[in-house]
Amino acid sequence: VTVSTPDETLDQRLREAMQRIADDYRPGDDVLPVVSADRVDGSRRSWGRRTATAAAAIVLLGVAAVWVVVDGPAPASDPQSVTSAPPRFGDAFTVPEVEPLVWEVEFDRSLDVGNFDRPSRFQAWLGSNDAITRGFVSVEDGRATGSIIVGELPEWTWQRYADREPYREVDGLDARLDPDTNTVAWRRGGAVRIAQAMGSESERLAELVADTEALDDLADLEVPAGFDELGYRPFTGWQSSASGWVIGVIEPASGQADLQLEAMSLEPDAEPIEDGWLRSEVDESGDRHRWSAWVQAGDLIVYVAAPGYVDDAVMREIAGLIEVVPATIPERPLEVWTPGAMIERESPVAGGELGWGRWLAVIDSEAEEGRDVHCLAFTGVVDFNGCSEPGSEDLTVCGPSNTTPSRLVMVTTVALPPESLPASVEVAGDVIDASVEQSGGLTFVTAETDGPRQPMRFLDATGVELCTG
Amino acid sequence: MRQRAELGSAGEQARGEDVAELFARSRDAAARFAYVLTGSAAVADDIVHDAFAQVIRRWPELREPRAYLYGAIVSGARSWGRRKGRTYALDVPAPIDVDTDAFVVRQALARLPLAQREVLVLRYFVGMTDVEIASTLGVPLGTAKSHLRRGLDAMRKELR
Repeated sequence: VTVSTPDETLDQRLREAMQRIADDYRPGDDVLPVVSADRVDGSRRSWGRRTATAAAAIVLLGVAAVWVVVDGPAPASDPQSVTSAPPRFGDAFTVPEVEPLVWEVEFDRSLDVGNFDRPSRFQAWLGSNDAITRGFVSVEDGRATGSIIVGELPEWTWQRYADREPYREVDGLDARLDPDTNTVAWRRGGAVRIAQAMGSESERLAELVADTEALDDLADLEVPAGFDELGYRPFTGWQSSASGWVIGVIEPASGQADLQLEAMSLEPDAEPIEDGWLRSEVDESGDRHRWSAWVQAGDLIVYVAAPGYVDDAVMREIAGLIEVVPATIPERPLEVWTPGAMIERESPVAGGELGWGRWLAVIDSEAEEGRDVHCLAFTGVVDFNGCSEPGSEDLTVCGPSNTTPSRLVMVTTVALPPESLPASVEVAGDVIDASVEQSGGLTFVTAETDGPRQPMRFLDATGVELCTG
Repeated sequence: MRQRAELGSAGEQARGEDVAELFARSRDAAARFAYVLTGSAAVADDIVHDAFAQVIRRWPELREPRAYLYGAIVSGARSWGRRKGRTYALDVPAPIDVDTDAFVVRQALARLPLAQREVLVLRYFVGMTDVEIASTLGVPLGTAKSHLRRGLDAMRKELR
């Protein structure tokens, strides 16, 4: 019989416990797959040539940054490949199979010579679904140097920073916004995440910074159709689908400062704040927050919500980095939405409070070719008073509630023929009759359910799906 | 010991292993170490990334790449902690039964001063000796032992 001493037992328990903890580690989808070491020097050549052999011979020192020289003669086999148009976000090029030591990055399309031949800075992230090289290349005096980091990226992208400030570090996070492409990139897990603004022409997009731990896959948010008609530029937002953060920019074309909300505060304990509205919920541990916020721009109220919890330190950091511009808070913000159409709920809601009830609006939109169709899913109802102190006139965003009724709304800005109007909404498999109302040039199709459920599909009279919320 | 097997010895690395081999063989173990140390997979990925970047840059001059790598990870964890104002557990913890040692240890690690956590994880997860721990952390042997003793005292109370 072997008898363990108390310390031997403790040692063993600690070893096993730490192994068990480590077993929970799951590498991100951008874990770095490659290590290589080499360096290439050669004769000068310009970027912008078709780069089956040009571009790169980019040598990757594993996961590390390494200075490389992008040199060599341009291929003579394809002189027509030089174009004037720079690659855009979404353009495809390929990165070949990853070799164990050295990658030669090849482009299957041309780059813009003009942006590279002149003394300028160029920063690029190159990659594919299979692999990513992150880094930047500076072209000065015709010589390109840069750093490359190997990683993986769910979605490849390309970024250009000609004649702009080089990479700038913000509190340890490499997050940069390119106003030309409305694209923001940042680093996470040794690779780069990219989000592209959708539909905004603003030249004043706020610099987007966020904590690496708070970011994950991205989605784009847009305000409902009709926003432009009120003189405001589109809402631009990025939403984390996992860790929970949303940031947005609304810029009024009219320049009305009081209606300008450049960013939302993420102050965790502000409930509400006067710069928009924000609510944060604290999880059971007491130090992680789920937050949601309102953005007001003129007559429109946009609600955004982060789906997950983030750490309070993250919240503080983000809050400290984002400037909040005061916005006007209307007394009854939703009245301007759709009088009689969307906020007619004045019946008691769960908890016995009168008012507008609780609600959580998750805005999802999609535009279909030929018609501008946006889906908005409102789950819950609005409560202006129920979550505030008795008698308080403060507007408080509450929710979501799993028990309060839901309203599902589809809004269109385009006059749809009757046959294209939704007649019903399918929510989690149940088909619910929908009502259609016209207001302010918008068409609101609403349906109510007994609780927030997803997915939902708006169907026409024949059952054909019009859009999905 | 598991981690040792994954990482190999410093001698092996010094005998001709190149950085690619080191990365291929030890990246996962290093990330697991960083994860136990910080409680965050995303942070661990970043820290390990940066640590390897340092290893690669200094590879020709490194006599003990493994120790340097782990030292760089510890340093990265400290830097991250300074930036964030905390040193542990940004991730939503993976579910662990609350009545297990793993749950208790993870909670205890989160509360421990970083210096004690470092030596505990290096000892019990990586499997380093006191001397190796002191070398990795760049502290006197007595300091490493002191941190270890205090950390163990705390763990002993938690794991009664």
